[in-house]
Amino acid sequence: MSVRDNYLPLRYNDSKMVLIAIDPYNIYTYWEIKKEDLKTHMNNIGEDFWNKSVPALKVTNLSKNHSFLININDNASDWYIHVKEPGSLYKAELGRHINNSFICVIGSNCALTPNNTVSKNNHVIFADCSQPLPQINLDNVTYSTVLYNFIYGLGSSEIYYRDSVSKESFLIYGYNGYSFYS
Amino acid sequence: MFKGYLSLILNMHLPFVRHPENDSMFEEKWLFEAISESYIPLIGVFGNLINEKINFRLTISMTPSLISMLNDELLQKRYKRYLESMIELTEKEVIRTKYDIRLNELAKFYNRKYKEDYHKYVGVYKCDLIGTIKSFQESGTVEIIAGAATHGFLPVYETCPKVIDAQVGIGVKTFLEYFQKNPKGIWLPECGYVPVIEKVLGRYGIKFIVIESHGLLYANPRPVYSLYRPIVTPNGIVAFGRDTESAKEVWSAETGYPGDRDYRDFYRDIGYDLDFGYIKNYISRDGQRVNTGIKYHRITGKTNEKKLYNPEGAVKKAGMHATDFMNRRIKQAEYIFDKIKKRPVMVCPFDAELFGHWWYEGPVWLDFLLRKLYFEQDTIRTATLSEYLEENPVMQISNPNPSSWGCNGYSEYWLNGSNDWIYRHLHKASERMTELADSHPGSSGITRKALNQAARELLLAQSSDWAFIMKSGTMVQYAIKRTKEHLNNFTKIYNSIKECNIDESWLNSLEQKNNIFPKIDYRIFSSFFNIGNIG
Repeated sequence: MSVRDNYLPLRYNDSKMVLIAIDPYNIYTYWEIKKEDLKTHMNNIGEDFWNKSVPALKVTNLSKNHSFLININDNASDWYIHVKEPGSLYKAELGRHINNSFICVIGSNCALTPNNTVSKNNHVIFADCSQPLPQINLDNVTYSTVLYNFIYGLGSSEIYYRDSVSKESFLIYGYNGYSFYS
Repeated sequence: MFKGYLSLILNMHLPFVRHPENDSMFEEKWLFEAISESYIPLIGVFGNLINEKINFRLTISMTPSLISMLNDELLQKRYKRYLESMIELTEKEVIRTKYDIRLNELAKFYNRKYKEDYHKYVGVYKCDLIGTIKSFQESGTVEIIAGAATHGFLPVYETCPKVIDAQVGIGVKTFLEYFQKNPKGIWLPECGYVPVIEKVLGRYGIKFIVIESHGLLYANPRPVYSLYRPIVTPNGIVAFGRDTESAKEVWSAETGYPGDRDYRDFYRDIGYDLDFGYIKNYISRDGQRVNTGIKYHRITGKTNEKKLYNPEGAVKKAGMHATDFMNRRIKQAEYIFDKIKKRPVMVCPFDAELFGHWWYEGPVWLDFLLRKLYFEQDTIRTATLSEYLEENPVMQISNPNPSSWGCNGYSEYWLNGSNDWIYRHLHKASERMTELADSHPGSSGITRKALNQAARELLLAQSSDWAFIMKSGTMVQYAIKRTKEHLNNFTKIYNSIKECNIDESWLNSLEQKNNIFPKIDYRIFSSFFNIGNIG
């Protein structure tokens, strides 16, 4: 295969922005905007604003509902973004920035940064995996939903709920009254 | 008293390095060296233990790319030729070293080794290593689990769910084809986990995965038993966590067993030491000096002054290290059992190629370990992951943390300044593959052939090995060439299908060259795909 054959295009004439979480503190984004789409955006935004503004990334932490801006340059087509909150859902937008105004040109998918520490969530539920698991959203687990979902939802499976791992003694609720810690 | 489980896992994987176009492609030696130094010795260890009725349990994962190569007639033929060449070289070495008794003994040691390899591979295993490994599964001692199609690092494909579907789906189908049963578990490439993978695993009936330690430790809600009992996700996938303590003892090149001064030195090789005229037929065709596999020295120390290798001394040391490893696991199990009043499971996954290829004495160490565990103690028991689950079905429900077992524990090694450029192209090609599959829900003849080859080229480009090599800095040009070549092949097929202008003779030659997954069905990339659609 010749060098010519090994050429990969710089662009695909697409408009898209992709965001990938690398680790708890870093995310990577790359993007491409079709020439036609860029023209449309320039027209919509206005030539004056466009020329006076700089390209920028707006990074939003959707979990904590705040965002920040990074001024970039017109030649960039990817960027490594340092973020401060592990375990958060982020979204990025590419747009134009001047003074306190940011106008979005294209937005990314959402990416979740991993946690970098043990969870503070102490709602502990056990299930018997030899039987089908019920539908559960662990984010919404409360004392009452645990009782409802598992005692009434799972039939004869052995399910246990521990109130808090920080306590010496545990509150254990089970369908058949079985104590997990003997 | 029985206080804990030890789950040893060997992950067998190599990238697809079949080069029919080149009679002496250096990269094919990766496979040949792995067969001689790791796979045949490990198969020998397991076979002997089974024949001697020594009870042990072990989990092996095999990736489809490796399975395809081990089953490939051309590569089998070339492996035999490799062995013939090694026998020839070691016979020359026996003559060359005849005036140095110790060196001569080592030359004879290698000569015997390669002759035995030839006898075992051709005469005993009938070139069928997969069938031999399969027979271990049938004996009940070894559990084989699936691997992803081409070992694609899945966390970087969160935005391309069809890629995850194809990597997992083809992995499961390949497993079924070769082992005639559905796999209960799958080895996630590089232990790379992100939540989106789970639903795909569930669709293929996968029950368990192995994740890096902090994937479990940082799970939400907090795991009660730390690393030492698995968790089950709300989607019903059981996640075992890699034990950090035992990992250090085996993996670490500096503080782990493989770095011991009595073990064989990997880097000192006659491919670099001997006169060019003498060694030229056994190194790279272009004259580049490379490892031959004949290494006469032991690690000795950190300087270049190396003492001659002493195989008997190294075996003795492997026995000592096996005893040490066993005693540490016993103490670990006793301590954890005392704390949690439950039997812990210590999950120890390793790359199979570490044993033998990188750590020459690794297979002997494993042999000692499994024998000692059987004869010398009753505190811990080896168990396959399925066996553990059958005996311990009750576990905590929790969501694992995204993680991998790569450098610093996340995606950094596969996504950084040295390799980030590939993802723009890999993602685009994946989108295009789904576009092709969606627009051709049924196809036949040359179009079907083209669609299937497009899927093969895309999967080959996705191999995590290329990004890894780009970052590691050795053989970088090869990794770049492979990535670009498969992407370009894909794009050429994509364009030719769109333009209804398929070059059949080029397609045929490509199909013969990159012949991985002969039964592939491109529709696995379709948005409308469901498992029942494809046989």
